[in-house]
Amino acid sequence: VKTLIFPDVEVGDTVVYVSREQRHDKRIPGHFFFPVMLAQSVPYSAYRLTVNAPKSVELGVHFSGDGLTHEVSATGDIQRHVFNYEPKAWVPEEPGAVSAWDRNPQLIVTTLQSMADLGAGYWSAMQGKDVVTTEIQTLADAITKRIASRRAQAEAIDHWVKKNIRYVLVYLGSSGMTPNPAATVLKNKYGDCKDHVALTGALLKAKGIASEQALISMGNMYRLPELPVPLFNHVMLYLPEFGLYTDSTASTAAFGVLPVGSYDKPVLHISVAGSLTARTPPMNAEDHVSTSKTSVTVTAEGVVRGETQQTSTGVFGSVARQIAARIETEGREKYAEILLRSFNRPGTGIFEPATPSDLTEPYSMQASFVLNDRLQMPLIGERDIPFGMPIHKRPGVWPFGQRVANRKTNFLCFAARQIEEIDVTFAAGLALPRKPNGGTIDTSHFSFKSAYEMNGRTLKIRREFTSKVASQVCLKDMEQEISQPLQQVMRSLGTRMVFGDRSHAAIAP
Amino acid sequence: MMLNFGRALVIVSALAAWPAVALDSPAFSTAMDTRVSVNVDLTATVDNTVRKKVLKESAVRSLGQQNITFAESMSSLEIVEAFTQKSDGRRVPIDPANIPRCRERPRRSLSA
Repeated sequence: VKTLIFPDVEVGDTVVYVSREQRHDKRIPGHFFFPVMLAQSVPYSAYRLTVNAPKSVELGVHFSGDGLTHEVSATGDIQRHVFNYEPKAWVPEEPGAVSAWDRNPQLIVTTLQSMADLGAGYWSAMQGKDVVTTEIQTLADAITKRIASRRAQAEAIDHWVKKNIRYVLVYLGSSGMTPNPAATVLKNKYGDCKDHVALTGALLKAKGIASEQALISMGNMYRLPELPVPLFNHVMLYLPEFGLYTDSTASTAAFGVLPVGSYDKPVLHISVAGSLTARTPPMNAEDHVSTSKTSVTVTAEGVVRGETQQTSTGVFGSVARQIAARIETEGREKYAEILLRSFNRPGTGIFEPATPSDLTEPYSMQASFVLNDRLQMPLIGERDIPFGMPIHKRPGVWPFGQRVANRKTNFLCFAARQIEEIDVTFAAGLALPRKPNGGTIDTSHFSFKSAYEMNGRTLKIRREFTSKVASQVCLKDMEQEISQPLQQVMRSLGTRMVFGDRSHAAIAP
Repeated sequence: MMLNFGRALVIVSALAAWPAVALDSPAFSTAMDTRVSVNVDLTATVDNTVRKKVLKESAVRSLGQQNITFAESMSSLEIVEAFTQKSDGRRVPIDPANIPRCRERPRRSLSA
């Protein structure tokens, strides 16, 4: 990084710098590539790119987007490509939007003719590091001892790497694209994504389980550019025998569970057999389920205390284990306090010990709590319903991100099921709340059901939200369809208990 | 964000296509001119000229200090010149001593 600190800058001034870069990029040997994405959120007044190259260099050119033009000319042995961009609009980024690469003006100049070229380039740097040494064979045998099923063997290896090999970021300039040999990674007990792939691949190979490297772009890019350019920034493994992807750098994810940003993404498989473009599977709501069960008692004095049991699968499980690690670091009582305060319901509590490295599913956590504020007595009028200490977002809050009126861009959305069950038991002698009205919302994109029941002195509440999106990219027009129904869901979460006079109506969908 | 693996040399004359001050207008405008010369061995020289005009007070701080990233394993970068151009046309150059260099912070890439 070079930092330019400009002197005497005021409104109306222009800061100017001129730079010269000598490129000797060897990531894809024998190729030149120059991708430019002109994000509409950047306030360009003008952009021009001129590429001069010998005619002997076979350049592929792609440009797309309003305001971009392209001219080709030649002088002697030199071909010249000139791109001019005159932006049509400045469009600030919207929350949750897909990558500007998926939607904004862009241009690519490259000698790469195909994804096969690109795959071959990556493979030349990344192949041959998964050598099965004696040590790796011994380790693979030990990890899979007494495990007969090949899938279970693969799972055991995946879990071993996640638990024992630290994932570290490495400076871009230090190691380029070449991974360390598997034996070195094993000795170091740490590695970047390529190192993880090398070691996991070697351990699998030691058990006769084939794997392919799968290059992927983390973040919010869900399409490949029109021409092949090395925009991938991560690599994981694909196991053809089981038809699943696994990412051992995701140390809190169960076998086959990917980081949330890796679903429904284009990938480039590379292996000794060549390269192949594919797509990771989209999320399935049944694979990502969060269930929060809270039992609360309200004493005669209005003290609110209870327990929350949280079970999580899929991406929720990954997050839960991360939280378990944080609880280990910050303390079981301290984290309970932090969580309650984040709900604006301060109190004290404690989490039961949980093991962050336990990758079995569902992953369970439990906590008990007492709120600082008592329910105001006598119970007349409206009171908040205590919802305990869920570690995940409440039903409907996360899968569609923030609401943005008049969306201009497609946005990220996730498939998941979120369940919240709350039992509120009132001490003898206390007034009981009216039973709020439940309801159902069913759209083509999500369903939501809330149900309320009085069982003796207990108000039982159940809310279930299922996002049914088939892709992790939701079209901008969907915003209009979901915004109002989602508002109803939010209103349901805010339903209050009503005591006494019927004029206090409960709010529910 | 602009993902560009190069930077360049010819100055773009057109600037400030955006209205001066409006609530929903940007705080600055950017003009870039990039010239890439590809060699037969597929190495390249990338000359880049970047001009950013301050349109609102909030941009003084963000534009007043800029980080230019490059990967040492893939390129070398030289700042040919850098200056503040005042609205009356005067140039206030950056003291070369004010171009500190530090290691890039980790970022997710295939090396990460």
